[in-house]
Amino acid sequence: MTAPPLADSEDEIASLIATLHETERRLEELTGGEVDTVSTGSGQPFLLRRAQRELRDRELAQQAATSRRERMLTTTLSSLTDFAYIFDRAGRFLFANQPLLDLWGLTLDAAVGKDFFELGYAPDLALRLQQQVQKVFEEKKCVTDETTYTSRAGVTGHYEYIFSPAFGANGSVDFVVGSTRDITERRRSEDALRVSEQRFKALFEQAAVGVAQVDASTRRILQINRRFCGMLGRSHAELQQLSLAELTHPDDAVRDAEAFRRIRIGEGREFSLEKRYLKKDGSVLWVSLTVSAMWESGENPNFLIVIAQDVSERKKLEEQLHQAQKMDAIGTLAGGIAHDFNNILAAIIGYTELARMIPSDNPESAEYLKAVLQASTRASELVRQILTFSRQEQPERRLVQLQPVVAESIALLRSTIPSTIEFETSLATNAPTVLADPTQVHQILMNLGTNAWHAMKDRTGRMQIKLEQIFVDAAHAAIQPRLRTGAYARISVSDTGSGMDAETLRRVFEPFFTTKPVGEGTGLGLAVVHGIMDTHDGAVTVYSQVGEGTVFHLYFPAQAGEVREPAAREGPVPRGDGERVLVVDDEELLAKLCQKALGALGYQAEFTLKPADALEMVRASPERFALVLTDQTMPGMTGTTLASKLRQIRPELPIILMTGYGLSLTPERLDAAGISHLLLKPATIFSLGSGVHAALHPPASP
Amino acid sequence: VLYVAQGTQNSALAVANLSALCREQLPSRHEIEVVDVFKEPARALANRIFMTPTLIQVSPAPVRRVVGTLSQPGRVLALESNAA
Repeated sequence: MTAPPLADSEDEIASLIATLHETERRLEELTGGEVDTVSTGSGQPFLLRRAQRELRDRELAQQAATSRRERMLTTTLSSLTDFAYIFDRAGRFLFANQPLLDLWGLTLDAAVGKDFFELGYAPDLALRLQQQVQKVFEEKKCVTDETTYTSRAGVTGHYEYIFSPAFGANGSVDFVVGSTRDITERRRSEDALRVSEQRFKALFEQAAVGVAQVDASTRRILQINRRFCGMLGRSHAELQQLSLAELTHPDDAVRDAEAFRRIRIGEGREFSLEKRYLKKDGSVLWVSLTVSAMWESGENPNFLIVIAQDVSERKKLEEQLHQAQKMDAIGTLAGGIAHDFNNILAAIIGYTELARMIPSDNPESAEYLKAVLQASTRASELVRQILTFSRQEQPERRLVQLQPVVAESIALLRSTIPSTIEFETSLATNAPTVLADPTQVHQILMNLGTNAWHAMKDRTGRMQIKLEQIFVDAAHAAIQPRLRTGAYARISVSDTGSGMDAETLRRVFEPFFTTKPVGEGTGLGLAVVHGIMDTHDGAVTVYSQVGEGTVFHLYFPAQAGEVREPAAREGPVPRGDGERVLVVDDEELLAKLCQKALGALGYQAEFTLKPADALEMVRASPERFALVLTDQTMPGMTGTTLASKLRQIRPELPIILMTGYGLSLTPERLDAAGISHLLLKPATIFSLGSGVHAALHPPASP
Repeated sequence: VLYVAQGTQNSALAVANLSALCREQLPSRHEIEVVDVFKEPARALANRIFMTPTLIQVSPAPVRRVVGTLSQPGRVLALESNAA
């Protein structure tokens, strides 16, 4: 069947269209425009043209909206700095946003449909990513991971990505969407932060000062470095259970608490304080603290940073300096009073001796006078000790046998040390003679003996004092730098006391180093021993074992020669034969004493209190006096000045100088002043007698 | 049952009007079914729908119908009261 040519039906078509239009118009009219469709009897609804228009408009609007939204989405995805992309089930890219395409250096068309292998990812990375995509499809859960990736352009970055399932209508996974963020920068700063933290940790841990972070209100230790732990003598774990307040020395607690209170309530941001902590072993740690406040939130500081510097050493030095200054002051004081005190002693001794020369029927009075004499002599000895200690007395080294000196010291030690300490002495009579100051040897032995006793205090023990001859050979000299090969007289003082550890032993001769409580020991005893041995060209060595005891060896170099002991004390005093003697002393009591003593010794003595008068008397009659005995310290003119003036008048006149202390009076100066003899105050009848006798009868010059 | 032609203005108006009316006047006492005549032409034919929108009140009996956008509540309510 062939369709009739359109032209043939043109008129009919036009008529039908007119009818159609008329029908629709009439329907709209009848329904008031409220109807959209009409149905014919066959049931197929027929849209009125107005409704058709509406539908078409709506579809067009929807299409426009959809395409606009799609464009917007694409733009959005490509404007992200993160990568956004879509995979299909085979792991091929269905979409990749512009940043990702830029990384690859590809267009979207070139990338779509390729998987990681085809995109040139390293095989192991491609495999891993592919498997993760599959996992999302299968498990319907997100996968998050990180990776490094080097682009074709050679840029290596660190990336964090997440693959998420996109669900279809039936709940299965239609495709997988991914987003990736470049965390290279974050990684770098995290790394930098970690490095910086490690550095700070190292700074904190290895600092040469103690550093701790404490809670501002409780002062509980939150962090503390190794150095601080070491300073406090406690472990890190132990300290984290403690507060700084608990470690503070009780005497500093109040001051300390107040300083911490102030900073806690915001008075100031930091403070410095010198205080003491107690170490675990109970010993004291002196520190210089600097405490600064740290705020994390709120008005009051949350944490305090405590920096502690160990100043124990400095404190000790300060205390030693203090002690030294005290000693210095005592020395000056002692020197100052020595003159007066000696004069008093001279009078006591002198008159006692005079009294003893008067025959008495009463044996008791003789006994008492002897006791007075003994006591005064001891007092005089004491003054000498004080002077030695304050270094105001020059050592008088002469050739001596050590045996009687040591014996005398032992006797004195024995009388002062309780009998719970047993003495064992062994003094070789063949020990060589040495060049020594007996007073100082005496002092050394007293010091060592007292130390030994202290080491054995509160228990029984044995002190051994030994004098022997010893020959130092090359090997011995090699290990003791102060010793040379040759003969020595060696005094050993040993005890069975507590002994010393290596640390104490190392410092034992250090001045002011003492193991005794403050106030009980000066720390000078062994230092003095060391100093004395030095001036004697000798040496002192020490051996000790904790719990076993200690032994000190004193080495005096042997010095051959004939010992010229002053004539025995108890021997007869040389007497005078009516020689006229002039006594010059500003102290009338002593001047008279001298006069009387000389009178008792068979001299004719006169005295004057003024040096100027003495000068006049000699000038008036130069030959009148056989000898002048003068005090050194007098107002107006010293004894030495007087002596040189007298010598100008009569050059051969024997002059004896009496002095309390031999300081600054060197033999040269004495010679220059024309002093024949020196008498130490307080002079005994014996020393006075022998002195005067010797000055009047000098040994014949060769 | 409201018979409509999906996407046209009058049908949309009818749905909106009926929903509003029922919500106001017959809260929790109504049930509306919307049928697209293009999707279910057979059902429309069976119910002799030859125009949309057409509202057919199925229950309670007797069955009645209103054609148009239902913009005059009175006509719909009258239908309702008849039913009552």
